[in-house]
Amino acid sequence: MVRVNRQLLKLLSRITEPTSGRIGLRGRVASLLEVGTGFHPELTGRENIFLNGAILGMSKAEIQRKFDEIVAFAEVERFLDTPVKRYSSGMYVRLAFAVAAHLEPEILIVDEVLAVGDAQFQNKCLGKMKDVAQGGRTVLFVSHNMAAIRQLCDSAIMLQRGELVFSGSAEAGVKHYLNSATTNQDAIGTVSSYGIALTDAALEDLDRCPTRSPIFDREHSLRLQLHAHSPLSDCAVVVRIYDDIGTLVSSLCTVEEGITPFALKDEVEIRFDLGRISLFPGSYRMSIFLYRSNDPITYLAAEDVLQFEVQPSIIQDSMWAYRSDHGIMRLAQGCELRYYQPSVVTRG
Amino acid sequence: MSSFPQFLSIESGRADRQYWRDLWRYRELFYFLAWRDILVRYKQTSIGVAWALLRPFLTMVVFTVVFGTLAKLPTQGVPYPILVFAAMLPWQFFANSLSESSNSLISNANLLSKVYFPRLVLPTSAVIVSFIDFMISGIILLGLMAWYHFMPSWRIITLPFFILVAFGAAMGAGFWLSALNVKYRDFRYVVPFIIQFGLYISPVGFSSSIVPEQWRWLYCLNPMVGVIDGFRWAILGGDAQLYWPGFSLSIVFVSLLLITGVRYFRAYERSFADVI
Repeated sequence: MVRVNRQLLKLLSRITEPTSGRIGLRGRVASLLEVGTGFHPELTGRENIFLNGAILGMSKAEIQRKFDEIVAFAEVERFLDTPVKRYSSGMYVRLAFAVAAHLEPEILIVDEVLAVGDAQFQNKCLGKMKDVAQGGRTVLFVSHNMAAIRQLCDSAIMLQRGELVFSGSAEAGVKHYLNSATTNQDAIGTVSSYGIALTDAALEDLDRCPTRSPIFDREHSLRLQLHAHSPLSDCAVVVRIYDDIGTLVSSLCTVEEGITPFALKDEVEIRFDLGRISLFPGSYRMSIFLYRSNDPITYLAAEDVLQFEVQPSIIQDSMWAYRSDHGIMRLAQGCELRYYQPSVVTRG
Repeated sequence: MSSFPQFLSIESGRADRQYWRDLWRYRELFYFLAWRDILVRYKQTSIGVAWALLRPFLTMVVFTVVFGTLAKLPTQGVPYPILVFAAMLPWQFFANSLSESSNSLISNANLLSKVYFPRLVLPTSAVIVSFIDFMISGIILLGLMAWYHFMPSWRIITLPFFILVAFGAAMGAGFWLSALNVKYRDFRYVVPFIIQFGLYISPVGFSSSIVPEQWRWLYCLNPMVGVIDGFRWAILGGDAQLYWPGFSLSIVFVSLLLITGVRYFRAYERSFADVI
């Protein structure tokens, strides 16, 4: 797992040269920075397999040997002699990935290309990457998808602002990533182009102490502080909460919570009462937006501004405390148990 | 494409040796890129590859009419179409190479910024495409020679040497212009002008013997003068004379162009992906 900007990947895949430092590579490197690079729309599927293979560094003999396998993997047998400009985007991507997946480099660099295709094809791709890794070759997988990293990787490194901050097992790496302050702290205090700034955002417990580790089923609130350089009327604030794999879990909206569009001037504090936290233990992030009624403009977008990790609450004598793998959210508010006893009619 | 893992060290100011080895490893890419360009060119055309023959033929007809019939230039006893065609072959090769290779990096920008391969492959394979056109046009020349019952002398066997010089000139200029084009798109407009202008200052429609003797050496600084004169000398035989001092000067100039071209290209190659 790596958080790197594209520049480092470009260096590793030799697209650009380093200005200082040294990279040691043992074996052929192939990168899937973008699948389908070098496809020509006018050429047929068959022709593109050869062309793309050659561009990625395969020899003609190698491509011929794997040709049938590639075609079968991409499931495009019937359209081999059709120009790829007539392919559906799904077919196009499948073919492109198939060529890249069958190149047998010693080191394969994969950069979140799995976001393509349908779920079935994605699983096929994950399987292929596992095969590659099990065949004794190296896969360098770059992703923010913690679930995929847990599933695919043995070891992980994490980079932050160009420095190595973690190196170890994938499992520990995922934890480190979630715990580290990967939030976009710069967003706090930054003035948007409409003169609005989010000056503070914090999750607070019952005693109004800010925390990054709220405890499941305890009462919390979210406090936001906004500043406007010039007054703005009819404002509404929306908070979006995402889990660690980027699923939108919930949204908070001032209007829905009963605050009619308000006027923003100078410093304003907004407090959402979250009640008892019903999100299951796990890592979440928040993004904060400011809109005005009947106006499509986003006046403020502070993305990933706050990250928090819900901690399991210790329930007395519990056998099954709610954990992150139990889902995202608690639906039950409580539970009741009643015994129905057979009614005994006594005759006296 | 070795079967055993090979250790590779990438450092700033990478060793040149690695580069030339890579160029050899990627030798099939020259072929595939050229193959692509030729395939793509005749897709969705109704007469297909026939265009490759038709284009140079039409140009030859135009030249014959304009210079042979209207301008009435001296022909030294050789059929005028052959005189023109012997010069037009290398000129067309050079002109096509120049326009194709100078654009080769920009038109393949998506490859350049996504995949690694030695960048020299791109302009070179553009020259190879033009060379294939050149070979096809060569068939027309053979046809013309048969038509006029023209028998070349022993000198025809020296032709590959002149082809090599033409190759050197096309590649040298191609490397320079393609690398410059990445950074300064002005060259997109400069290149067509060079080609248009070059046609008039190269001895295509006329023989270089009409240039006054005292200016002949200066004229030979145009690298195509040596090549075209060489082609005429080799193909036409007989009266065609080769002006040796000028020709040697041309060769020196072409070598210089090629060497500096490769150097310049290599020096700026590392920044292509960032600048393009």
